[in-house]
Amino acid sequence: MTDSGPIVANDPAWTAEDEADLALPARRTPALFKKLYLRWVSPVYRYLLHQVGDTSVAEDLTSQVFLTAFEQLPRYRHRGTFAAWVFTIARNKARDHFRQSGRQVSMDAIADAAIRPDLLGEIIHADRLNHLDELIRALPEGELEMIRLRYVAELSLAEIGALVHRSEEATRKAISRLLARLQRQMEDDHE
Amino acid sequence: MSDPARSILDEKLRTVTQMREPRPEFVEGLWAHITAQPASALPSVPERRRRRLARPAWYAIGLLVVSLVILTLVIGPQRVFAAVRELLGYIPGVGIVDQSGGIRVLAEPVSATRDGVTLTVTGATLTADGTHLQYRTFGIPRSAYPLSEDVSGCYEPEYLRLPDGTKLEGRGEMPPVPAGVAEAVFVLPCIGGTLPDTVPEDWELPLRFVPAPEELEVMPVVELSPSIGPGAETAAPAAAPEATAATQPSSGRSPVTLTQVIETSDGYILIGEFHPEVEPGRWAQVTGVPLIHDADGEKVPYSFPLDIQPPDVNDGSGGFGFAFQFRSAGLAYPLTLTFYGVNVSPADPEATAEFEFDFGPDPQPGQEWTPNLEIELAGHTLTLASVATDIGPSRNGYSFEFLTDPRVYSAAVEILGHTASGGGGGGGGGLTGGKFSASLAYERIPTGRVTILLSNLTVISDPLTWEGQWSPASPADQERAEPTPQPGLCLASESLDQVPAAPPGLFRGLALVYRQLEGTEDWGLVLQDLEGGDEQVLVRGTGWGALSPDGSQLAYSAADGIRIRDIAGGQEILTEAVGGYDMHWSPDGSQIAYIGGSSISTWVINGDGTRARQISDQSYDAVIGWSPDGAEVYFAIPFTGGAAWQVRAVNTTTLAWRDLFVIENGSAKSLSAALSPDGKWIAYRSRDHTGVYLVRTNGEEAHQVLEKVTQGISGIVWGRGGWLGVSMIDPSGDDRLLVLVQPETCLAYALPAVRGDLEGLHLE
Repeated sequence: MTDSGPIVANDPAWTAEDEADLALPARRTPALFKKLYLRWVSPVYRYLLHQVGDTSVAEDLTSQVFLTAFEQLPRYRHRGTFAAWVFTIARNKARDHFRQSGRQVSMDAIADAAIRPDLLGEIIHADRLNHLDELIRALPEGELEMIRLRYVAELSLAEIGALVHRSEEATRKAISRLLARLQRQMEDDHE
Repeated sequence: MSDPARSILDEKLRTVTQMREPRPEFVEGLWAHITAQPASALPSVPERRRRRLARPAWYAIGLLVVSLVILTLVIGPQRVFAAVRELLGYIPGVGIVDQSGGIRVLAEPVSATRDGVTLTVTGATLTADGTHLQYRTFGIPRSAYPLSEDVSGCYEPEYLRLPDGTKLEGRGEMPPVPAGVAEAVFVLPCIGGTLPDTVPEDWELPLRFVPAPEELEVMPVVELSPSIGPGAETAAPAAAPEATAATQPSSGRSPVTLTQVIETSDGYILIGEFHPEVEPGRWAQVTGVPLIHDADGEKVPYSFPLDIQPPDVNDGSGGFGFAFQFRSAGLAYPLTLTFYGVNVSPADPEATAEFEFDFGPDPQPGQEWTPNLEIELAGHTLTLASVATDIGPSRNGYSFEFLTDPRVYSAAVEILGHTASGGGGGGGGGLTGGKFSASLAYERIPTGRVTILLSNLTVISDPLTWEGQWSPASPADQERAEPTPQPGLCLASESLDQVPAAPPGLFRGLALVYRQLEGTEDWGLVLQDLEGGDEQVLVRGTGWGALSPDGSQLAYSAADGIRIRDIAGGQEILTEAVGGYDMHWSPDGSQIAYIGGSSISTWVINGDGTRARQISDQSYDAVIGWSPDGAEVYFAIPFTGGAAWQVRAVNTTTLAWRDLFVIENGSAKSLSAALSPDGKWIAYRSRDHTGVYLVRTNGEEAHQVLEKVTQGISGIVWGRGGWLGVSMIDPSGDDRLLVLVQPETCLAYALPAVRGDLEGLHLE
């Protein structure tokens, strides 16, 4: 039997706290970091891609995030979820990128980086998706960030809560209110 | 109850926001890049230490500046709405609840066991604004979970089914149960993450709800009106806290605002918002942690209550919400909350600077230049300290490191005539030791002589301090008596400073610690003499180690498994154990218990490295130790979904096992438990990692011996003579402190010569 370390990704007890606790032995045995890396490299990349709209920039920023996380792992303190920690690094890297470049990416660029399924072939459905797209683009940054974390990065409510310093329930309520408002706007605009 | 329209919207949101996955080559290439880094590579100066070095430097520089801006602002004036005071209550472990409709709780815990798996609903709190449910499972075999990452197990949320058929869905927090409904069925369709047909599904447990007992601890939450400017008039009920007038910002809005205050059994929780006042285009950057001092200037230790969520501040100013919990015994009021930071702003958006650089005709991976070129930009001097190629599977560019004057935060870098396909940066200029970096990536790397353009220089303001003051409402609260000491408590935060250093000769022996190796960026296991002096680096790169009882051998986790080294002679063997950690030697040194295997369970191996055998069929165990006669191994098995551990003892010969008791107040996932050599006591880390509990091996007499002594306990190891070694993050936050405490007598000594996370202790 060969083992390179704990297999944790699919454990039921593979909660956010488990990840944080894998970070503890991963501090000492860097090979264990791979599990955390494989778990989060895609959500972090998608989250950054949604922000910057450019795959090369997203790759570069993603690289910076995980190199920083790997470097800082010995200093990781189990205070929240590991996802909140690594996404805090990602948010800082994105912020630094925009401040250095002095520009914000256009939502059109984000649209280009998105995947458009074949469903767009249906006119009505495509129309509604485009409308939703526009509503999302018009959201204030804070609400857009919630959409990004929930639907692009696919973080759990608890993980988002830890990242934005809110309870899971408060996060659920905030997102629920946002969705309710989007729903109403969709319905109103189509009357 | 699910909303079909909402489900459709949810699906649409997923569609419109769907982003491409990263290229597999990128993912693999980045991992290769990461593993090519030195193990535990750290910046040359740890970030936290940089901030500490920066702050004194900042203050020194600030004295040279004509005006050092300090904004001192009040929290308030604060007003209390008496009616609101009755609405909200704080329940430890649950959070802030609406108690206007009364509070109900679970009448009694409910359990069911099917095919060796036990589901228990351990508690419920019902209020007008929600239902907080706690449940856990035990006995789920590792084989019930997928081994492959691309196979997902069950993910169907639990819910409460009311008598009328209504479903209240949610994970942990559900909608409120209507008043008058005293029963419900807890439905768990499947145990999260498990594969079909591996463990029982469709669990249903009947629950009964009753009014909360009078002894339920519900603390009043005092809502405070938002801070207002001077001259504003608001009714001030008698319970209004005092506020000390001080300079107000021009906007009239206080940057430090308290929104709620909770009076706990031994202190307070202050909840509020930090809103720095910044102009458009600027933001505040807080450096370091906020501090609380009392009126005597004494620092007030505080913690972050895990069950309270600070307000969300998202206005782009750099502000944030906060919640601080502290003990009030012996405090002098008012308290001062202090936030430290700087404002960051563009120096001159139009300013640019250019310089020439020659990369040569064929730059190679790992190539580096040290031009030490000084560049003037927007009135500041930048020094280009180094340029390096950044060429790899997914990268094709350069990285630049700049040294800055203390005012500079960052600048944008571009190579004229070459469009970067990506870029980034790091560091914070004067906040991070006077360095910042920038990297540029290209489809085709620029070569030869180029012109580099710098722009968008951002600068840091003079150091800023935002302060607020607060006092409790009534004078009686300000004269709170010292609390009655808990029996068995040896050290608390206020007594840690008084622990004396061990006198020479009191302790002879060795400590095995995990720490950064002197003069390197590597970490590893170091054997240190308890009195200082001799130390020996045993292993680099790994942090799991255990000393044999006689101190002559080291068992440690290596990339290829567990290795045993003779410390004096250096001979080493690779054991049969694969991927193991958390090693514990038996009292006679003939065996080692450890965690290993794909199920992360408890194993035992002979001291000569042979005959590895699994003694636990559970998962995610944590070894506690050996019985004094070496017949049994004690270990802890976590409950799934609840922060609790089942303590179990297994006979290593017969594999007969017995469950002893459940630890409910330990660390949720990293118990760090240790069994005393006499087999009578188990020491373990507290839930918040700031203290240590002791409990007898029959589960009785649980008590704290160390309470809130530090930001984090990092190691717990018993020595002979009833001495318990505890390593902890020292008050500065940068290093480790080792304390030996004898719980029976509460004698305690610090060992200042020993630094690092304690992995082993050999007392002669």
